[in-house]
Amino acid sequence: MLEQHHFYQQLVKRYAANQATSEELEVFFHLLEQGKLDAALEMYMNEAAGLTEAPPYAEEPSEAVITPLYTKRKLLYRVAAAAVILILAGSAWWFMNRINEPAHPGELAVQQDILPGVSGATLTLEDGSVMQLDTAARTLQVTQGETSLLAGKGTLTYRGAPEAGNLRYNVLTTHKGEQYRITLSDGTKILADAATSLRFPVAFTGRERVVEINGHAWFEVAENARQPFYVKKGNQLVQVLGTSFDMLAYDNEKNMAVTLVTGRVQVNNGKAVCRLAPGQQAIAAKGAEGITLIKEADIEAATAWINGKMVFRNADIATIMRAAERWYNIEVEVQGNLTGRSFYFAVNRTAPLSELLHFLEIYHIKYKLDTVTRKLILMQ
Amino acid sequence: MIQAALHNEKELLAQVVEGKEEAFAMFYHYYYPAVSAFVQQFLKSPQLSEDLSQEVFTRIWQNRHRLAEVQSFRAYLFVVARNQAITALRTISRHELAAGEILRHYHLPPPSTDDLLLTQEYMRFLRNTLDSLPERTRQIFRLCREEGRSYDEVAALLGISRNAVKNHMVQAMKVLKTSVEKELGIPLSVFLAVFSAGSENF
Repeated sequence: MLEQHHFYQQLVKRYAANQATSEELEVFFHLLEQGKLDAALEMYMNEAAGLTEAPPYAEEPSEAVITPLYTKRKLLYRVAAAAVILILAGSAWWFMNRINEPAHPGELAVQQDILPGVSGATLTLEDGSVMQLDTAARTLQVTQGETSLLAGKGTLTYRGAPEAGNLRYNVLTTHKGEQYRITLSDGTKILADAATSLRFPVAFTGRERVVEINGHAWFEVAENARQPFYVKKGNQLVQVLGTSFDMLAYDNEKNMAVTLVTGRVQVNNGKAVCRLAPGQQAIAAKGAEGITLIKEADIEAATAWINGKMVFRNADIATIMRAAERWYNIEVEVQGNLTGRSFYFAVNRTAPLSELLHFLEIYHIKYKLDTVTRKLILMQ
Repeated sequence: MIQAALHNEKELLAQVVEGKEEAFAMFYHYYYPAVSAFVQQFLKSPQLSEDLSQEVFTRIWQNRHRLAEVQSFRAYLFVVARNQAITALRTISRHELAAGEILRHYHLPPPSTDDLLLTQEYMRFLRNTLDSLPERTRQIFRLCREEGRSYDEVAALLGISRNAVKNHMVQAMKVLKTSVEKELGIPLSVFLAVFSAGSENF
Protein backbone atom coordinates (compact mmCIF):
# COMPACT_ATOMS: atom_id res chain seq x y z
CA MET A 1 0.00 0.00 0.00
CA LEU A 2 1.17 3.44 -0.87
CA GLU A 3 2.01 5.45 2.15
CA GLN A 4 1.36 9.11 2.43
CA HIS A 5 4.96 10.22 2.19
CA HIS A 6 5.36 8.19 -0.97
CA PHE A 7 2.39 9.97 -2.40
CA TYR A 8 3.99 13.30 -1.51
CA GLN A 9 7.25 12.26 -3.11
CA GLN A 10 5.57 11.14 -6.27
CA LEU A 11 3.55 14.32 -6.46
CA VAL A 12 6.67 16.48 -6.09
CA LYS A 13 8.43 14.46 -8.72
CA ARG A 14 5.61 14.79 -11.19
CA TYR A 15 5.34 18.50 -10.51
CA ALA A 16 9.05 19.02 -11.12
CA ALA A 17 8.95 16.94 -14.29
CA ASN A 18 5.95 18.87 -15.64
CA GLN A 19 3.86 15.74 -15.60
CA ALA A 20 1.28 16.89 -13.10
CA THR A 21 -2.27 17.42 -14.30
CA SER A 22 -4.18 20.49 -13.19
CA GLU A 23 -5.78 18.46 -10.42
CA GLU A 24 -2.41 17.36 -9.17
CA LEU A 25 -1.20 20.96 -9.30
CA GLU A 26 -4.10 22.02 -7.20
CA VAL A 27 -3.28 19.39 -4.63
CA PHE A 28 0.40 20.25 -4.85
CA PHE A 29 -0.15 23.88 -3.97
CA HIS A 30 -2.62 23.03 -1.28
CA LEU A 31 -0.28 20.59 0.45
CA LEU A 32 2.59 23.00 -0.05
CA GLU A 33 0.68 25.73 1.68
CA GLN A 34 0.03 23.42 4.59
CA GLY A 35 3.73 22.70 4.84
CA LYS A 36 3.18 19.02 4.15
CA LEU A 37 5.49 18.86 1.18
CA ASP A 38 8.58 20.33 2.79
CA ALA A 39 10.22 17.01 3.52
CA ALA A 40 9.39 15.56 0.14
CA LEU A 41 10.61 18.70 -1.61
CA GLU A 42 13.84 18.74 0.28
CA MET A 43 14.43 15.11 -0.47
CA TYR A 44 13.68 15.50 -4.14
CA MET A 45 15.78 18.65 -4.42
CA ASN A 46 18.72 16.99 -2.72
CA GLU A 47 18.56 14.26 -5.27
CA ALA A 48 18.13 16.66 -8.18
CA ALA A 49 21.07 18.74 -7.01
CA GLY A 50 23.24 15.74 -6.26
CA LEU A 51 23.49 16.77 -2.64
CA THR A 52 23.68 13.28 -1.22
CA GLU A 53 27.31 12.51 -1.80
CA ALA A 54 29.25 15.15 0.09
CA PRO A 55 28.34 17.47 2.91
CA PRO A 56 29.11 21.07 2.08
CA TYR A 57 31.11 21.53 5.23
CA ALA A 58 34.15 19.94 6.72
CA GLU A 59 32.35 19.37 9.97
CA GLU A 60 28.73 19.46 10.86
CA PRO A 61 27.38 22.66 9.38
CA SER A 62 26.45 25.26 11.90
CA GLU A 63 22.72 25.60 11.99
CA ALA A 64 22.93 29.26 11.22
CA VAL A 65 24.24 28.53 7.79
CA ILE A 66 21.85 25.86 6.75
CA THR A 67 18.64 27.09 8.22
CA PRO A 68 18.43 30.86 7.97
CA LEU A 69 16.32 30.68 4.88
CA TYR A 70 13.84 28.46 6.60
CA THR A 71 13.05 30.93 9.31
CA LYS A 72 9.56 32.18 8.98
CA ARG A 73 9.53 35.76 8.06
CA LYS A 74 6.88 38.20 9.00
CA LEU A 75 6.37 38.66 5.34
CA LEU A 76 4.76 35.28 5.18
CA TYR A 77 2.07 36.33 7.57
CA ARG A 78 1.43 39.51 5.72
CA VAL A 79 1.32 37.52 2.56
CA ALA A 80 -1.07 35.07 4.12
CA ALA A 81 -3.32 37.88 5.20
CA ALA A 82 -3.24 39.38 1.75
CA ALA A 83 -3.95 35.98 0.30
CA VAL A 84 -7.00 35.62 2.47
CA ILE A 85 -8.35 38.86 1.13
CA LEU A 86 -7.71 37.78 -2.38
CA ILE A 87 -9.14 34.37 -1.73
CA LEU A 88 -12.29 35.86 -0.42
CA ALA A 89 -12.60 38.56 -2.94
CA GLY A 90 -10.71 37.92 -6.06
CA SER A 91 -11.97 34.68 -7.34
CA ALA A 92 -15.34 35.71 -8.44
CA TRP A 93 -15.38 34.98 -11.99
CA TRP A 94 -15.37 31.36 -12.61
CA PHE A 95 -17.44 30.46 -9.68
CA MET A 96 -20.45 31.92 -11.28
CA ASN A 97 -20.75 28.94 -13.55
CA ARG A 98 -22.39 27.19 -10.70
CA ILE A 99 -25.20 29.64 -10.40
CA ASN A 100 -26.08 29.16 -13.99
CA GLU A 101 -28.66 26.57 -13.19
CA PRO A 102 -31.37 27.00 -10.66
CA ALA A 103 -30.50 25.06 -7.55
CA HIS A 104 -33.51 22.82 -7.85
CA PRO A 105 -34.71 22.88 -11.41
CA GLY A 106 -37.19 20.11 -10.77
CA GLU A 107 -38.97 22.03 -8.07
CA LEU A 108 -39.95 24.94 -10.18
CA ALA A 109 -43.52 23.79 -10.41
CA VAL A 110 -44.02 23.25 -6.71
CA GLN A 111 -43.43 26.59 -5.12
CA GLN A 112 -43.33 26.20 -1.39
CA ASP A 113 -40.23 28.24 -1.39
CA ILE A 114 -38.72 30.94 -3.55
CA LEU A 115 -35.75 30.02 -5.64
CA PRO A 116 -32.64 32.14 -5.74
CA GLY A 117 -31.59 34.23 -8.70
CA VAL A 118 -30.13 32.76 -11.85
CA SER A 119 -27.88 33.86 -14.65
CA GLY A 120 -29.85 36.00 -17.02
CA ALA A 121 -30.07 39.47 -18.48
CA THR A 122 -31.55 41.60 -21.20
CA LEU A 123 -29.29 43.17 -23.77
CA THR A 124 -30.35 46.24 -25.71
CA LEU A 125 -28.36 46.88 -28.84
CA GLU A 126 -27.53 50.24 -30.43
CA ASP A 127 -30.43 49.95 -32.83
CA GLY A 128 -32.89 49.35 -30.02
CA SER A 129 -33.34 45.65 -30.60
CA VAL A 130 -33.52 43.53 -27.49
CA MET A 131 -32.00 40.14 -26.76
CA GLN A 132 -32.83 37.89 -23.85
CA LEU A 133 -29.75 36.27 -22.39
CA ASP A 134 -29.96 33.20 -20.25
CA THR A 135 -28.03 30.14 -19.36
CA ALA A 136 -29.05 28.14 -22.39
CA ALA A 137 -26.22 26.38 -24.08
CA ARG A 138 -27.18 27.82 -27.44
CA THR A 139 -24.98 30.67 -28.53
CA LEU A 140 -26.13 33.93 -30.01
CA GLN A 141 -23.81 35.84 -32.23
CA VAL A 142 -24.34 39.38 -33.40
CA THR A 143 -22.01 41.62 -35.33
CA GLN A 144 -22.05 45.36 -34.74
CA GLY A 145 -19.57 47.22 -36.88
CA GLU A 146 -16.22 45.59 -36.37
CA THR A 147 -17.24 44.01 -33.10
CA SER A 148 -19.01 40.76 -32.63
CA LEU A 149 -20.69 39.66 -29.49
CA LEU A 150 -21.18 36.12 -28.35
CA ALA A 151 -23.76 35.24 -25.80
CA GLY A 152 -24.32 31.86 -24.29
CA LYS A 153 -24.04 29.83 -21.13
CA GLY A 154 -24.44 32.82 -18.88
CA THR A 155 -21.70 34.93 -20.41
CA LEU A 156 -21.57 37.72 -22.90
CA THR A 157 -18.31 38.39 -24.69
CA TYR A 158 -17.37 41.21 -27.01
CA ARG A 159 -14.58 40.76 -29.47
CA GLY A 160 -13.25 43.15 -32.02
CA ALA A 161 -10.95 45.98 -32.83
CA PRO A 162 -11.69 49.62 -32.11
CA GLU A 163 -13.06 51.37 -35.15
CA ALA A 164 -13.27 54.97 -36.16
CA GLY A 165 -16.43 56.95 -35.81
CA ASN A 166 -19.06 57.21 -33.14
CA LEU A 167 -19.25 54.82 -30.26
CA ARG A 168 -22.00 52.26 -30.44
CA TYR A 169 -23.57 51.59 -27.08
CA ASN A 170 -25.15 48.46 -25.68
CA VAL A 171 -27.05 48.24 -22.44
CA LEU A 172 -27.05 45.12 -20.31
CA THR A 173 -29.81 44.94 -17.76
CA THR A 174 -30.34 42.33 -15.10
CA HIS A 175 -33.70 42.17 -13.46
CA LYS A 176 -34.35 41.24 -9.90
CA GLY A 177 -33.33 37.61 -9.47
CA GLU A 178 -30.73 37.73 -12.20
CA GLN A 179 -27.03 38.21 -12.55
CA TYR A 180 -24.83 38.08 -15.59
CA ARG A 181 -21.19 38.21 -16.50
CA ILE A 182 -19.74 40.01 -19.41
CA THR A 183 -16.36 40.49 -21.01
CA LEU A 184 -15.98 43.82 -22.77
CA SER A 185 -14.03 44.26 -25.97
CA ASP A 186 -10.93 45.43 -24.04
CA GLY A 187 -10.92 42.27 -21.93
CA THR A 188 -12.45 43.88 -18.84
CA LYS A 189 -14.65 41.45 -16.97
CA ILE A 190 -17.77 42.47 -15.15
CA LEU A 191 -20.15 40.48 -13.04
CA ALA A 192 -23.44 42.33 -12.81
CA ASP A 193 -25.53 41.65 -9.74
CA ALA A 194 -29.31 41.69 -9.75
CA ALA A 195 -31.30 44.77 -10.74
CA THR A 196 -28.36 46.37 -12.43
CA SER A 197 -27.89 48.12 -15.68
CA LEU A 198 -24.60 48.71 -17.44
CA ARG A 199 -24.16 50.91 -20.48
CA PHE A 200 -20.95 50.54 -22.41
CA PRO A 201 -19.58 51.00 -25.90
CA VAL A 202 -19.33 47.91 -28.05
CA ALA A 203 -15.73 48.86 -28.83
CA PHE A 204 -13.65 51.42 -26.99
CA THR A 205 -12.38 54.12 -29.26
CA GLY A 206 -11.07 57.48 -28.22
CA ARG A 207 -9.05 58.40 -25.19
CA GLU A 208 -10.98 56.77 -22.43
CA ARG A 209 -13.16 53.85 -21.62
CA VAL A 210 -16.38 54.76 -19.87
CA VAL A 211 -18.96 52.35 -18.48
CA GLU A 212 -22.10 53.63 -16.83
CA ILE A 213 -23.67 51.71 -14.00
CA ASN A 214 -26.83 51.71 -12.02
CA GLY A 215 -26.76 48.90 -9.55
CA HIS A 216 -24.05 46.60 -8.30
CA ALA A 217 -21.16 44.98 -10.10
CA TRP A 218 -17.74 43.47 -9.69
CA PHE A 219 -15.11 44.77 -12.08
CA GLU A 220 -11.86 43.26 -13.19
CA VAL A 221 -10.52 45.99 -15.40
CA ALA A 222 -8.02 45.24 -18.13
CA GLU A 223 -5.00 47.44 -17.78
CA ASN A 224 -4.37 50.05 -20.42
CA ALA A 225 -2.63 53.17 -19.19
CA ARG A 226 -3.24 54.99 -22.43
CA GLN A 227 -6.97 54.53 -22.25
CA PRO A 228 -8.09 55.15 -18.68
CA PHE A 229 -11.18 53.33 -17.51
CA TYR A 230 -14.05 55.11 -15.77
CA VAL A 231 -17.17 53.82 -14.15
CA LYS A 232 -19.88 56.42 -13.94
CA LYS A 233 -22.97 56.64 -11.80
CA GLY A 234 -24.71 59.99 -12.24
CA ASN A 235 -22.12 62.53 -11.27
CA GLN A 236 -20.06 59.99 -9.37
CA LEU A 237 -17.02 58.88 -11.22
CA VAL A 238 -14.62 56.09 -10.44
CA GLN A 239 -11.34 56.32 -12.24
CA VAL A 240 -9.73 52.97 -12.56
CA LEU A 241 -6.09 52.17 -12.97
CA GLY A 242 -5.97 48.46 -13.71
CA THR A 243 -7.76 46.82 -10.89
CA SER A 244 -10.51 44.73 -9.42
CA PHE A 245 -13.19 46.29 -7.30
CA ASP A 246 -16.79 46.14 -6.25
CA MET A 247 -19.16 49.00 -6.88
CA LEU A 248 -22.53 49.26 -5.26
CA ALA A 249 -24.57 52.10 -6.70
CA TYR A 250 -28.30 51.48 -6.59
CA ASP A 251 -30.77 54.27 -6.81
CA ASN A 252 -32.58 52.93 -3.77
CA GLU A 253 -29.50 52.67 -1.58
CA LYS A 254 -28.51 55.61 0.53
CA ASN A 255 -24.82 54.97 0.04
CA MET A 256 -22.74 54.35 -2.99
CA ALA A 257 -19.81 52.15 -2.06
CA VAL A 258 -16.66 51.33 -3.95
CA THR A 259 -14.55 48.57 -2.46
CA LEU A 260 -11.09 48.07 -3.87
CA VAL A 261 -9.47 44.66 -3.86
CA THR A 262 -6.43 45.12 -6.09
CA GLY A 263 -4.89 48.02 -7.97
CA ARG A 264 -5.88 51.64 -7.60
CA VAL A 265 -9.04 53.61 -8.10
CA GLN A 266 -10.06 57.18 -7.53
CA VAL A 267 -13.61 58.07 -6.60
CA ASN A 268 -14.92 61.48 -7.56
CA ASN A 269 -18.42 62.71 -6.77
CA GLY A 270 -17.97 66.12 -8.30
CA LYS A 271 -17.25 67.70 -4.94
CA ALA A 272 -14.71 65.46 -3.39
CA VAL A 273 -12.06 63.08 -4.61
CA CYS A 274 -10.88 60.01 -2.78
CA ARG A 275 -8.07 57.68 -3.71
CA LEU A 276 -8.32 54.08 -2.62
CA ALA A 277 -5.65 51.57 -1.78
CA PRO A 278 -6.44 47.84 -1.83
CA GLY A 279 -8.55 46.84 1.14
CA GLN A 280 -10.17 50.24 1.41
CA GLN A 281 -13.71 51.35 0.73
CA ALA A 282 -15.12 54.71 -0.30
CA ILE A 283 -18.64 55.59 0.69
CA ALA A 284 -20.48 58.46 -0.89
CA ALA A 285 -23.74 59.08 0.91
CA LYS A 286 -26.56 60.58 -1.04
CA GLY A 287 -26.77 64.32 -0.51
CA ALA A 288 -23.49 64.45 1.38
CA GLU A 289 -20.65 66.52 0.03
CA GLY A 290 -17.74 64.44 1.16
CA ILE A 291 -16.68 60.89 0.60
CA THR A 292 -15.96 58.68 3.57
CA LEU A 293 -12.85 56.56 3.36
CA ILE A 294 -12.90 53.32 5.29
CA LYS A 295 -9.30 52.31 5.67
CA GLU A 296 -9.88 48.76 6.73
CA ALA A 297 -12.98 47.78 4.90
CA ASP A 298 -14.77 44.52 5.37
CA ILE A 299 -13.67 43.21 2.01
CA GLU A 300 -15.04 39.79 2.70
CA ALA A 301 -18.54 41.03 3.28
CA ALA A 302 -18.48 43.48 0.39
CA THR A 303 -17.31 40.96 -2.14
CA ALA A 304 -18.82 37.76 -0.81
CA TRP A 305 -21.54 37.89 -3.42
CA ILE A 306 -19.13 37.25 -6.24
CA ASN A 307 -18.18 34.02 -4.50
CA GLY A 308 -21.81 33.11 -4.25
CA LYS A 309 -22.49 34.24 -0.70
CA MET A 310 -24.49 36.96 0.92
CA VAL A 311 -22.61 38.16 3.94
CA PHE A 312 -23.91 40.82 6.26
CA ARG A 313 -22.05 42.12 9.25
CA ASN A 314 -23.47 44.71 11.52
CA ALA A 315 -26.09 45.43 8.88
CA ASP A 316 -29.52 46.88 9.47
CA ILE A 317 -32.59 44.96 8.44
CA ALA A 318 -33.42 47.35 5.61
CA THR A 319 -30.10 46.79 3.90
CA ILE A 320 -30.44 43.04 4.19
CA MET A 321 -33.98 43.09 2.89
CA ARG A 322 -33.12 45.27 -0.08
CA ALA A 323 -30.51 42.71 -1.05
CA ALA A 324 -33.05 39.93 -0.58
CA GLU A 325 -35.55 41.77 -2.75
CA ARG A 326 -33.04 42.02 -5.54
CA TRP A 327 -31.75 38.49 -5.47
CA TYR A 328 -34.97 36.64 -4.72
CA ASN A 329 -37.14 38.95 -6.76
CA ILE A 330 -39.51 39.59 -3.91
CA GLU A 331 -41.11 42.56 -2.23
CA VAL A 332 -40.45 43.00 1.44
CA GLU A 333 -42.54 44.97 3.84
CA VAL A 334 -41.33 45.61 7.35
CA GLN A 335 -44.14 46.05 9.86
CA GLY A 336 -43.17 47.14 13.29
CA ASN A 337 -39.92 48.64 14.32
CA LEU A 338 -36.77 46.72 13.56
CA THR A 339 -34.57 49.74 13.08
CA GLY A 340 -31.67 50.18 15.40
CA ARG A 341 -30.95 46.49 15.45
CA SER A 342 -27.94 45.14 13.65
CA PHE A 343 -27.58 41.69 12.22
CA TYR A 344 -24.89 39.28 11.27
CA PHE A 345 -25.61 36.53 8.85
CA ALA A 346 -24.48 34.72 5.74
CA VAL A 347 -26.28 32.49 3.27
CA ASN A 348 -25.34 30.97 -0.03
CA ARG A 349 -26.75 32.78 -2.99
CA THR A 350 -27.58 29.40 -4.47
CA ALA A 351 -29.88 28.66 -1.54
CA PRO A 352 -33.61 29.24 -1.72
CA LEU A 353 -35.25 32.00 0.24
CA SER A 354 -36.09 29.65 3.09
CA GLU A 355 -32.46 29.72 4.21
CA LEU A 356 -32.65 33.44 4.63
CA LEU A 357 -35.96 33.09 6.44
CA HIS A 358 -34.29 30.70 8.79
CA PHE A 359 -31.95 33.51 9.73
CA LEU A 360 -34.97 35.63 10.61
CA GLU A 361 -36.16 32.89 12.92
CA ILE A 362 -32.83 32.83 14.64
CA TYR A 363 -33.25 36.51 15.36
CA HIS A 364 -36.82 35.93 16.52
CA ILE A 365 -38.33 37.92 13.73
CA LYS A 366 -41.76 36.71 12.66
CA TYR A 367 -42.68 36.77 9.02
CA LYS A 368 -45.30 35.84 6.47
CA LEU A 369 -44.40 34.76 2.98
CA ASP A 370 -46.74 34.62 0.02
CA THR A 371 -44.98 32.70 -2.71
CA VAL A 372 -47.57 33.60 -5.32
CA THR A 373 -47.33 37.36 -4.98
CA ARG A 374 -43.69 36.98 -3.88
CA LYS A 375 -44.29 39.15 -0.90
CA LEU A 376 -42.50 38.83 2.42
CA ILE A 377 -43.82 40.63 5.46
CA LEU A 378 -41.65 40.97 8.55
CA MET A 379 -43.23 41.45 11.92
CA GLN A 380 -41.53 42.33 15.10
CA MET B 1 24.71 15.48 -14.23
CA ILE B 2 26.86 16.84 -11.50
CA GLN B 3 29.41 19.40 -12.47
CA ALA B 4 32.97 18.91 -11.44
CA ALA B 5 34.38 21.54 -9.15
CA LEU B 6 36.53 24.27 -10.58
CA HIS B 7 40.02 22.85 -10.64
CA ASN B 8 41.47 25.49 -8.35
CA GLU B 9 38.36 25.94 -6.26
CA LYS B 10 40.10 26.01 -2.90
CA GLU B 11 42.25 28.97 -3.85
CA LEU B 12 39.35 30.73 -5.48
CA LEU B 13 37.21 30.23 -2.39
CA ALA B 14 39.90 31.80 -0.25
CA GLN B 15 39.97 34.75 -2.60
CA VAL B 16 36.20 35.12 -2.45
CA VAL B 17 36.36 35.16 1.33
CA GLU B 18 38.84 37.99 1.02
CA GLY B 19 36.31 39.85 -1.06
CA LYS B 20 37.83 39.38 -4.50
CA GLU B 21 34.96 39.86 -6.89
CA GLU B 22 36.76 38.43 -9.85
CA ALA B 23 37.18 35.15 -8.05
CA PHE B 24 33.48 35.07 -7.30
CA ALA B 25 32.78 35.82 -10.94
CA MET B 26 34.40 32.48 -11.76
CA PHE B 27 31.99 30.63 -9.54
CA TYR B 28 29.12 32.64 -10.80
CA HIS B 29 29.71 31.97 -14.46
CA TYR B 30 30.64 28.39 -13.95
CA TYR B 31 27.70 27.39 -11.78
CA TYR B 32 24.99 29.80 -12.80
CA PRO B 33 23.43 27.71 -15.58
CA ALA B 34 23.18 24.65 -13.35
CA VAL B 35 21.59 26.61 -10.50
CA SER B 36 19.18 28.30 -12.86
CA ALA B 37 18.12 24.98 -14.38
CA PHE B 38 17.71 23.51 -10.93
CA VAL B 39 15.55 26.38 -9.71
CA GLN B 40 13.45 26.37 -12.82
CA GLN B 41 12.40 22.80 -12.21
CA PHE B 42 10.48 24.13 -9.23
CA LEU B 43 9.59 27.70 -10.08
CA LYS B 44 8.70 27.10 -13.73
CA SER B 45 8.69 30.75 -14.66
CA PRO B 46 12.00 31.44 -16.48
CA GLN B 47 12.12 35.01 -15.27
CA LEU B 48 11.36 34.10 -11.70
CA SER B 49 13.94 31.33 -11.83
CA GLU B 50 16.58 33.60 -13.22
CA ASP B 51 16.01 36.23 -10.62
CA LEU B 52 15.89 33.76 -7.78
CA SER B 53 19.16 32.25 -9.01
CA GLN B 54 20.68 35.72 -9.00
CA GLU B 55 19.44 36.06 -5.48
CA VAL B 56 21.17 32.84 -4.48
CA PHE B 57 24.50 34.19 -5.67
CA THR B 58 23.88 37.56 -4.08
CA ARG B 59 23.30 35.90 -0.74
CA ILE B 60 26.38 33.81 -1.03
CA TRP B 61 28.43 36.87 -1.91
CA GLN B 62 26.95 38.82 0.96
CA ASN B 63 27.74 35.99 3.37
CA ARG B 64 31.07 35.15 1.81
CA HIS B 65 32.80 34.93 5.18
CA ARG B 66 30.95 31.66 5.64
CA LEU B 67 32.72 30.17 2.66
CA ALA B 68 35.83 29.87 4.81
CA GLU B 69 34.50 26.66 6.31
CA VAL B 70 32.95 25.32 3.14
CA GLN B 71 34.49 22.20 1.63
CA SER B 72 32.44 21.97 -1.49
CA PHE B 73 31.25 25.21 -3.01
CA ARG B 74 28.87 23.31 -5.19
CA ALA B 75 27.16 21.59 -2.29
CA TYR B 76 26.92 24.84 -0.35
CA LEU B 77 25.53 26.61 -3.39
CA PHE B 78 22.83 24.05 -3.93
CA VAL B 79 21.84 23.99 -0.29
CA VAL B 80 21.29 27.73 -0.51
CA ALA B 81 19.45 27.31 -3.82
CA ARG B 82 17.33 24.52 -2.37
CA ASN B 83 16.41 26.53 0.71
CA GLN B 84 15.63 29.58 -1.38
CA ALA B 85 13.47 27.55 -3.74
CA ILE B 86 11.52 25.93 -0.90
CA THR B 87 11.00 29.27 0.80
CA ALA B 88 9.85 30.78 -2.46
CA LEU B 89 7.47 27.91 -3.16
CA ARG B 90 5.96 28.24 0.29
CA THR B 91 5.39 31.92 -0.19
CA ILE B 92 3.98 31.25 -3.59
CA SER B 93 1.54 28.68 -2.28
CA ARG B 94 0.07 31.29 0.02
CA HIS B 95 -0.26 33.93 -2.56
CA GLU B 96 -2.57 33.89 -5.49
CA LEU B 97 -0.52 36.45 -7.35
CA ALA B 98 2.67 34.46 -7.15
CA ALA B 99 0.99 31.14 -7.82
CA GLY B 100 -0.38 32.68 -10.98
CA GLU B 101 3.14 33.45 -12.12
CA ILE B 102 4.06 29.79 -11.79
CA LEU B 103 0.88 28.42 -13.24
CA ARG B 104 1.15 30.58 -16.28
CA HIS B 105 4.43 28.95 -17.08
CA TYR B 106 3.40 25.46 -16.22
CA HIS B 107 2.74 23.54 -19.36
CA LEU B 108 0.18 20.96 -18.53
CA PRO B 109 0.93 17.60 -20.04
CA PRO B 110 -1.43 16.53 -22.78
CA PRO B 111 -3.98 14.04 -21.52
CA SER B 112 -2.33 10.75 -22.11
CA THR B 113 -2.13 7.16 -21.16
CA ASP B 114 0.63 8.23 -18.84
CA ASP B 115 -1.93 8.51 -16.11
CA LEU B 116 -2.53 4.81 -16.34
CA LEU B 117 0.91 4.37 -14.95
CA LEU B 118 -0.19 5.94 -11.73
CA THR B 119 -1.15 3.47 -9.14
CA GLN B 120 -4.62 3.33 -7.77
CA GLU B 121 -3.30 4.25 -4.36
CA TYR B 122 -1.76 7.39 -5.80
CA MET B 123 -5.05 8.32 -7.39
CA ARG B 124 -6.86 7.61 -4.16
CA PHE B 125 -4.60 9.94 -2.17
CA LEU B 126 -4.99 12.54 -4.86
CA ARG B 127 -8.74 12.25 -4.90
CA ASN B 128 -8.98 12.38 -1.11
CA THR B 129 -6.95 15.55 -0.90
CA LEU B 130 -8.81 17.07 -3.78
CA ASP B 131 -12.11 16.40 -2.08
CA SER B 132 -10.93 18.08 1.06
CA LEU B 133 -10.03 21.33 -0.70
CA PRO B 134 -12.24 24.29 0.01
CA GLU B 135 -14.09 25.36 -3.10
CA ARG B 136 -12.44 28.76 -3.05
CA THR B 137 -9.01 27.22 -3.50
CA ARG B 138 -10.16 25.81 -6.75
CA GLN B 139 -11.59 29.07 -7.93
CA ILE B 140 -8.36 30.86 -7.27
CA PHE B 141 -6.57 28.16 -9.00
CA ARG B 142 -8.58 28.68 -12.10
CA LEU B 143 -8.29 32.42 -11.83
CA CYS B 144 -4.53 32.22 -11.46
CA ARG B 145 -4.13 30.68 -14.81
CA GLU B 146 -6.19 33.28 -16.51
CA GLU B 147 -4.98 36.46 -14.94
CA GLY B 148 -1.80 38.12 -16.04
CA ARG B 149 -0.10 39.73 -13.11
CA SER B 150 2.78 42.05 -12.79
CA TYR B 151 5.98 40.14 -12.52
CA ASP B 152 7.55 42.86 -10.43
CA GLU B 153 4.89 42.42 -7.79
CA VAL B 154 5.71 38.75 -7.58
CA ALA B 155 9.43 39.42 -7.39
CA ALA B 156 8.87 41.95 -4.63
CA LEU B 157 6.71 39.45 -2.78
CA LEU B 158 9.44 36.86 -2.86
CA GLY B 159 12.02 39.40 -1.79
CA ILE B 160 13.94 39.12 -5.00
CA SER B 161 16.05 42.09 -5.93
CA ARG B 162 15.96 41.80 -9.64
CA ASN B 163 19.17 41.44 -11.49
CA ALA B 164 21.21 42.67 -8.58
CA VAL B 165 23.99 40.21 -9.23
CA LYS B 166 23.89 40.58 -12.94
CA ASN B 167 24.86 44.20 -12.66
CA HIS B 168 27.30 43.35 -9.99
CA MET B 169 28.86 40.67 -12.13
CA VAL B 170 29.05 42.85 -15.17
CA GLN B 171 31.02 45.22 -13.01
CA ALA B 172 33.20 42.45 -11.66
CA MET B 173 33.90 41.11 -15.10
CA LYS B 174 34.93 44.53 -16.30
CA VAL B 175 37.42 44.77 -13.51
CA LEU B 176 38.68 41.31 -14.28
CA LYS B 177 38.90 41.97 -17.98
CA THR B 178 40.95 45.07 -17.45
CA SER B 179 43.35 43.49 -15.01
CA VAL B 180 43.81 40.31 -17.05
CA GLU B 181 44.50 42.17 -20.23
CA LYS B 182 46.78 44.61 -18.50
CA GLU B 183 48.74 42.13 -16.46
CA LEU B 184 48.86 39.11 -18.72
CA GLY B 185 48.57 40.74 -22.07
CA ILE B 186 46.06 38.17 -23.32
CA PRO B 187 42.36 38.59 -24.08
CA LEU B 188 40.05 37.65 -21.27
CA SER B 189 38.39 34.88 -23.24
CA VAL B 190 41.65 33.09 -23.70
CA PHE B 191 42.47 33.53 -20.06
CA LEU B 192 39.14 32.12 -19.01
CA ALA B 193 39.36 29.17 -21.35
CA VAL B 194 42.61 28.20 -19.72
CA PHE B 195 41.63 29.21 -16.26
CA SER B 196 38.37 27.31 -16.01
CA ALA B 197 39.33 24.26 -17.98
CA GLY B 198 36.46 21.85 -18.25
CA SER B 199 33.82 24.49 -18.01
CA GLU B 200 31.59 24.99 -20.98
CA ASN B 201 30.19 28.22 -19.81
CA PHE B 202 32.38 30.64 -21.63
